[in-house]
Order: sequence, then C-alpha cells, then structure tokens
Amino acid sequence: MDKVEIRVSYFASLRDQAGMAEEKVALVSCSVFEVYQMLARKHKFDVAGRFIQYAVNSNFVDRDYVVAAGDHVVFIPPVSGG
Amino acid sequence: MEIQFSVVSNEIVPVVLANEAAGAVVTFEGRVRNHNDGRGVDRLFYEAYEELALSEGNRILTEAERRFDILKIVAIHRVGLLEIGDVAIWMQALSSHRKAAFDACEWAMDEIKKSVPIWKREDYSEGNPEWLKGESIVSADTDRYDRQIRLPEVGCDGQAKLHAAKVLVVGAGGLGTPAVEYFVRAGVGHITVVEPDFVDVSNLNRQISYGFADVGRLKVDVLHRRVQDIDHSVEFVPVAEKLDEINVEALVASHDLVLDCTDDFAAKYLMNDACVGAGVPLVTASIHRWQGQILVVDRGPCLRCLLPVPPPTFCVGTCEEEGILGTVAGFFGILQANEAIKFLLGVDGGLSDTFLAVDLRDYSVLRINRPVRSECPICSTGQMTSLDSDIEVELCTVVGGAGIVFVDVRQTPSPQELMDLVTDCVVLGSVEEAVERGAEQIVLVCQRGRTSLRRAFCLRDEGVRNAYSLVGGIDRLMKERDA
Repeated sequence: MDKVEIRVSYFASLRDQAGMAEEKVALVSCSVFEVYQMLARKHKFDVAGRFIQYAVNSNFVDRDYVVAAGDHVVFIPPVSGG
Repeated sequence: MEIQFSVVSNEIVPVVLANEAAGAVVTFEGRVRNHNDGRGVDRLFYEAYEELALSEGNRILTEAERRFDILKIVAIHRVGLLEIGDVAIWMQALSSHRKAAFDACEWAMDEIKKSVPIWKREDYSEGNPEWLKGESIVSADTDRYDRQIRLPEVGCDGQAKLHAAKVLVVGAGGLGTPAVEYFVRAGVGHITVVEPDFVDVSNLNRQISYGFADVGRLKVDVLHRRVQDIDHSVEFVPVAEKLDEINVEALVASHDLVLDCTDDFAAKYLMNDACVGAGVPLVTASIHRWQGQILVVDRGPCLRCLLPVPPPTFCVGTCEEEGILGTVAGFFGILQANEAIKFLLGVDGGLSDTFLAVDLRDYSVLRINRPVRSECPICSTGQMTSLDSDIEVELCTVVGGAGIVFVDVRQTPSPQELMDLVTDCVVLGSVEEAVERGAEQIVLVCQRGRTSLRRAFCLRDEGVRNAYSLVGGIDRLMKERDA
C-alpha cells in the first residue's frame, strides 16, 4: 500500500517524552488512534491513546479519523496542573 | 469633537438649537422637587466626577443620535447647590417628526441617570442629609476603576455589571490566586473561593497571595485578608471545602460564572457537568511545565465533547510532580480572569468553541476548533462510557487465581523483591513474556501504583485486554507485610 506523509505535533508531556515538538511521518493511511499507538511505541509515551485529544488541521477529530497525505495531526494529552 | 454634554455650576441657560429640517423640538427639564421617598427636601447638592461625567455623557448622547432618527441632542447638567424648582438637567432633541425626539430624550435621560458619575446629596427638612447614588452603582471611588472605565467596552455600565457579578473560583493555587486578585482590582463585586488546603512553603513560587508568614494557615483565610486589603468593599465568601458531588450544584447555581483553577480532573468534570446543567459559563485552564491551555464552556461544546470521561489522576502529571514556573501559572490564571471579565462585560471572547494552548518557552500558539460531539453524554445523547473500572486490582482479589502473572514495571525492576512480597505467585520480567505465556491476568506492579496504571491503560489500548495495575504498588505490599 502507498504511504502518506503527515506532520505530527506533540503537546505538553508528549513533547517532553518525544524530545521534539514535531516530526514528519510516512505511513500507510490509518486512524489517528493507530498513528498514536505506533508513535507511542516509538517514543515510549506513558499516556494511553484513549486519553489523547486528537486534532487534525486545527479541528478536533474522533479517534477513528483516517489521516490523509499532508494532514497536520496534533496529539494533546490530558493536562491538569493548576 | 462637538460637545453635546456639559456640566455647569451656575444656573442653566438653555441653548437654542436651530435646524430648518426640524419639525419637532422636545425639551426636557429635570427640576429639584420638595420631597423624595416621603421626606421633605429643602435643597440638593450635586457633585460630579467631571472628567468622566463629560466623556460618559457625550458617549450616551452620541449613541442616542445613532439609535434614534434625530437631528441633534444636547444636555446640560448642573452641579453645586440647587434650590427647590431649580433646573438640575436640561435636555433638548431635534427631529423631523416628534416621536424620535421624545424617544431619544427618554432613553438618554435613563442612561444618564444610570451611568454618569454625578451624585446628589439631599438636605431634608428634618436634617440628616444623605448622599444618593444613581440607579446603578457608580461607586464613590470611581477613581479606582477610572483607567478601565475609559475603555469603550467597559464604561460605567460595564463597571456596574462587574460590580453586580458573582463569580465562583475553585482552587486558590497558581491559577486561582492571580485570577482572584485581578477580579478584585477589576471591581468584581462578589467572589466565592473554594479551597480546602493550607499554605505550604512550596506554594510560594506561584501562589502570589501568600507570604512566608502564612505557611500553615488556611488558604481561603489568607486570601480573604488579602482581598480585604486590596478592596474591602468586595464581598468575599471563603469555602474551606473540597468540591464534591454534594456541594457542587448549589455552588455553581448561585453564581454567574465559574473559574476552574484546580489541578484535578475529577473536579474539572464535576464543574463541567454542573455548569452545563445550570447554564453557567465555565472558564477552565490547565498548565504543564511551560505550556498551558484554556477553554470556555458556554452553551457550546463542553469538556466531555473532547474527552468523554476524565482520565485517572495518576495518568497525568501535577505541578507537584512535573514542576511549574510561577510565571506560567500566573499567565494562565490572568488569562482566565481576562476571559471571565470579558464574559461579564458581554464582550465575545472567541474561546467558547476554541481550545487555546500557548507554550511560553517558544511562544508557539495552538488554536483548535471544538465541535459539539453528538456522542457527548452531557451535551447530547451519548452514553457515559465505561473507563475500564476493573483495571486496578488489590492483591487479595488476585492472589490464588490460576494463570495470574505479576510483572515488575519499575524503571529498574527487581523481580526478586516482588517475588518475596507475593509469595507463591509467578513473577516475570517483561509484559511481552507474560503475553507469550498466555497469562490469564497480567498484573503490573510499580513502586506506588501510578506507572503501572499508566502502562496498563496503554496496554489495553494496544489490545492487551487482560492488563491490570496493582493498587498502591510495592509500597503498599510492604506496608501490608509489616502490618
């Protein structure tokens, strides 16, 4: 299957754990949830995918949203500090 | 700018407005009468905060010309000592047809009485003269708010709205203390603060209302005194309780707006549900190291539209664990107060369907549109989804079961130590090994039960449905052994 390239941004603790604010990723098109699972393994994220808020191109999306080439995906983990 | 509103200290001399297009001239005179509220009045004394009275008066008359089909409107207000029958205010409106001029005069008079800072002292026949405010509150110390009243979005009307507002602030920490102090300085009339904690020395880097001498004291008490120092006329209600299912509804329903300044997801969702239910807007913020986020729940999407159930507290870091710079907390607390004040003034904040996150290290800004989710259990018809509530287990409920495997998931695992604590049980070094062995239940163990819970959720999302986390971790096992 053809791969698509997307841009991924990390937020809050994910940014710290990934050691980067964003990266470009080439993958076989799948849901944002699956993209997260893949990158969570790579970066050893300790937040489960169910607690992530997924945004694509400045809109929040459901976790089964399927990414397309050129999408800008943002993973936002829950933040509660106050 | 043409002067339409003036203040004079001598007898008012009516001006004659000439305009050939005017088919109607309506003149109104407000005069000093000899009684008020059943008491005989001998004379009146008017005092103006002149600079502001002029700008506010002119604003009202300009607005009258915009609202009504009139050619011109002017007004003159008298100050100083006035006798019975003297003209206190004179107003004239010109229009092509009479109705517009009548309407404009009536509207402008109401507005002037409401928001132009001119006070009158009535001298009664029986003595005891009294200063009376206008119909709205233009506090005697208008000077205090002068710089914000000058803003077109505030004005005397806006100031009166802030004075009449009742806000609820939950949490008096890094977000709550700056927010409360700015509310007080802005003239918000009523502030209730919910916070059960005592001041700790580690709070002082960001919780700006407390000093070293306050360590050990109840936060709401210290904050109360601080608020009184800034403005003793503010009605401050301290609630030294934790927000819970029992007190949340009454607290939310008796206020105009709620500020969530907590670091606790359970509390955030309690407020969310109560605010959506009562139709009270909620301004919520959270901070993580250099970043913070803010969103407003007000008739649009709510917190559950983003994430239907709150994550367990241990799945996210707190300031205590992750660290926080005082300036970052202060920035977001002030941002919350800013949004709240805008809401109270009726200024659209633009955040009610947007999630805003700012990174104060590199100043990157994230704005994301939030839709109302049709599956939201609060805003729509969605069901409250279960959060794998079985994921945390106690030793007594798992020991003895066949096919149960313990995995030490600490950064530097010590399976032997764990084995000594859970005698007669299988202890493995890695989750992969446990999955390969086809274990029935894979129980993750760490030092305190936090890392293991995070890992268990991650594993379940990866499809390992039989992952569990041991509550309390090694620490608790040791305590139970020694007990």
